[in-house]
Amino acid sequence: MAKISENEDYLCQLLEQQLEITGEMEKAIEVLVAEQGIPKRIAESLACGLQIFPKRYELNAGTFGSAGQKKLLRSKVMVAGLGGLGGHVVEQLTRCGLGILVGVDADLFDETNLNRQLYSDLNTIGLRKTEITKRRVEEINDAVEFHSFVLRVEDLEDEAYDGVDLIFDCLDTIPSRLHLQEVGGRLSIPLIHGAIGGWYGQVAIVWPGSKLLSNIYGRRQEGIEKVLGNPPFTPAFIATLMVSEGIKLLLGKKERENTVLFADLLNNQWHCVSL
Amino acid sequence: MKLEIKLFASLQKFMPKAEKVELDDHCTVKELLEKIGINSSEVAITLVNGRHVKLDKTLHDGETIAIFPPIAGG
Repeated sequence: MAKISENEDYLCQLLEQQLEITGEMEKAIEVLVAEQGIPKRIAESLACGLQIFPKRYELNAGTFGSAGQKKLLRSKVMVAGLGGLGGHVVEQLTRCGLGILVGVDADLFDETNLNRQLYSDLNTIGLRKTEITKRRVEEINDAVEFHSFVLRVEDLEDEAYDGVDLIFDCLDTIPSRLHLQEVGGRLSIPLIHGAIGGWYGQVAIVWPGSKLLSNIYGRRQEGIEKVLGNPPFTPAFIATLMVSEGIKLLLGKKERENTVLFADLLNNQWHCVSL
Repeated sequence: MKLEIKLFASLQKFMPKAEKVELDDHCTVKELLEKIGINSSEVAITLVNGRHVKLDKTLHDGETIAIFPPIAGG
């Protein structure tokens, strides 16, 4: 990345030249990638810096701005857990144009995933979640890089977090979530926490050093989802809140605060609780 | 003393019929939970007048208690 930032002005000049020749930013980006050997997400970020959005981001432009889209294309986030929440989080981040996604999940898709997990279908039962998720990301946006670890988060080495700006906690067990809180604190990486059960869900930012998840869960091993299960709409809803919170944080639109947003989809009630 | 109780999500089924519940003075959050039939393992966050408290917190007349269950699925 240091090399690219040193050569950024030069690469921008080349991109502008190619735009003049080809008349289309998508083609200019392809030429730059082929000739300079840079990642496509970097070429796209240069285009955004020139205030010319690749078409796939045109409807992001008014919301993120050119500096914001460029920032997202140069960001790296981890999605821990590629199940109900994680699938929707990956899908939205990919369409946002989030440069590098690191997916972590040791599981295979099974029949019990079919009611809610975006990438589970009759053809993916028995296949690795990381593998199917990577394929889906590539089908949606070939500029987004998807790296994966077929491991539990407890088994990840610290190197797995290199360069990670933000971690999405889409896990489904309390001990794993508390482990991620500890890692985020130690490596100074904020977490976007999301959890679901029945009609209900919660979202919070866990800032490095915060013990917010310990305060919520204490020594409990499980939550209301063990009785209520997880219907299709709650993970999609909570994942959406997680992604918007994460994007705001990456774009510097989020104040540091220790709050948990509770969503009750049965009664359409939302509560923001300060801890 | 009288307290206002707000129960959220799956805990709403434990809501007493009366809006305000009468309790002995110096009752703790834990004793309140027992009175309305909630096991403390079903509770994640307890707020008194909007502030996060532990289960041994003593309650006072007129306070509002809000209780949230643990949610951990993904």
